[in-house]
Amino acid sequence: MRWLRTLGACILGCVAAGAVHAQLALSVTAESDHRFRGISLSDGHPDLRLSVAYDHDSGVYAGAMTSPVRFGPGGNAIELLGYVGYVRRWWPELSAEAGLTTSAFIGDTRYDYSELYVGLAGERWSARAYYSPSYFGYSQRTVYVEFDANAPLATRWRVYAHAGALSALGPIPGDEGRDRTRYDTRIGAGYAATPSIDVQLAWVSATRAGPYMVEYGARRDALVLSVTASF
Amino acid sequence: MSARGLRAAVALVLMTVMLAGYAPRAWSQAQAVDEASQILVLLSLPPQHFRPDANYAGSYSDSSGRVARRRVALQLAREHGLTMAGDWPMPLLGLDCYVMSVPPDRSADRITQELSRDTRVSWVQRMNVYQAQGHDDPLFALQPARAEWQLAALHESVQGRRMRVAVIDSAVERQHPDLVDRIDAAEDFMAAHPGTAENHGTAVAGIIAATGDNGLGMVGVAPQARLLALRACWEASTEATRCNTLSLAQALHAAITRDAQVINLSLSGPPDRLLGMLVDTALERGIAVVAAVDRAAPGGGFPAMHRGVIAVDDAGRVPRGAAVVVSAPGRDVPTTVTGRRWALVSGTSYAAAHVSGLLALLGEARERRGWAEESKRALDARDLVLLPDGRIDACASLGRIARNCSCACTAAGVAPTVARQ
Repeated sequence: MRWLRTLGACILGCVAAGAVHAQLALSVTAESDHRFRGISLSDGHPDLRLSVAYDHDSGVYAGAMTSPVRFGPGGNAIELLGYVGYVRRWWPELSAEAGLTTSAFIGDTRYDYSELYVGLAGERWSARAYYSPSYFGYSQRTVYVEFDANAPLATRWRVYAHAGALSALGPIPGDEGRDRTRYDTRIGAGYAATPSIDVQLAWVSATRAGPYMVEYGARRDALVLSVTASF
Repeated sequence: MSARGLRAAVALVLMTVMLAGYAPRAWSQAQAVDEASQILVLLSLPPQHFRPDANYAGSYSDSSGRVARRRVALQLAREHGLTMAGDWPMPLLGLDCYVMSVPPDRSADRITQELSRDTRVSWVQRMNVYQAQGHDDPLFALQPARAEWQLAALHESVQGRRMRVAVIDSAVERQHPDLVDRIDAAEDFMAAHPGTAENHGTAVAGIIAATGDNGLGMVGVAPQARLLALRACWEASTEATRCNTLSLAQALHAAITRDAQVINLSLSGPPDRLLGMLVDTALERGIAVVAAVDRAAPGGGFPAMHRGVIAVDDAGRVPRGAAVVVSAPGRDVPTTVTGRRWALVSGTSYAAAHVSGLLALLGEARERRGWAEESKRALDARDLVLLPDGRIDACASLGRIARNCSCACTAAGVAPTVARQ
């Protein structure tokens, strides 16, 4: 939480100081199910997310996101996620980045965790690897790798695809025989209703293995509708 | 998803849409009304990076970033008394481009200087206006490529197969019987000046790639090449075909992203930083760029005199200051025109079109030789064998790449030279 407060103060400080070459973006996302790496963090229920993102021309970026989460019945909390990173464009079509994310859960701090990440991105794709020393507070070291791609279909339409793999580094506590890697995919289409409103429909699925995270009886696949309004 | 969940999601969707209802309605099409009174304000487009709210859809076109930059642009417009006329993202250059109109009582140059000092702005430039080079000196004797370039002999070995030529010009008549099966895709970047078929673009397209052996009209220099008909110019009158910085930049961007091998720019105007960067990007990606020389412009005009561009004249004359200008047939050339007709045209525009067609032939020959590394380099003037008067020896140029030219490789009794740049 202290880290998040520091990050927030940094963003507000930069904005208040009228930092040059900087962009601040706000967005609200309404979605039928909050799926994170294929797993529902809203127990299959709709939720609302608020985000703020700050980009400096130097390549430094930071941001925060908040949304309600449900770790099964009675396990309600509010997630506050903060991130800071640095990205550099090597060629017009290739950029590389590194950063840190940290998530705090108001109402159930047992789940607090952080991740380091590195990534490459092109005009229509990105690949990232994340390392967490204690994924969702389970004292389980994990690595998550993901690949994302998108392609325009028409002026306002896009299709998206995502594939990811979450691997436990070492046996999973309490379930040593369990397969250590969980795979997730997401395929969807997006429609830019206006310059500031995006609508997405995606099919999300995940396998039944890998590190524990949240209540495990939830469905492993879902059709997710989301609308993002940017300000 | 349960029915209850679905209802709740729909309610959230509607609420979000209502919340965002204030959003600017203007979409990204610049309304080029009076280009001379417009400026381009370019803001930095951050590289794509991690965003936890991106729904795995990481993209330069993410709406929140665009809205943020648009907010900055609107603020700049307010501060300087300008009107926003449109916007367009250019991820290839890492820039977002905003078109702003300058009020009649203010100086566009002065506002450009003021904005250039603003640290929020990458750079600012005037909207330049370009003139197609297609209507000068139509009285010279006919010199068809069929004779000068031995076109039939060239076509025995190459016809431009698998080559894609971007025609950045006025609207190509897509239903013309000599072009109907040659056009891969068409895009219109001149929505403010509607037009579905215009003579200049149709004539240039025909010279490059009109269908051969169909018993109709004429044959293009590269009759098997595919065309990208990118409308960036409009015919203001029968005497003037006009384009501007934004429309040309959009068309260049489209040509690059659609993997053209050759870009034909039969037009000329003042030097332009934005267009220059896009031309450089095309060349870096191995796309040959051909442009018509404007003899009335200092040094031959832009983009013809831009480094790496093949500058084409139709009379073998070299404008002062030019590094290399090649000469190609451009007088009384039969080609396609609107109304499913054919006509004679003259001008450096059409000379440039000849060279674009020839580059498609050379590109096919290079690809067939399997020079993988070499094929990544954009063809340029060094790949053309020139006669002492600047005319291209098409057969010798092809022969040097193909090594099996089936036609006589030098024009009658004249020793060819290799262009240097």
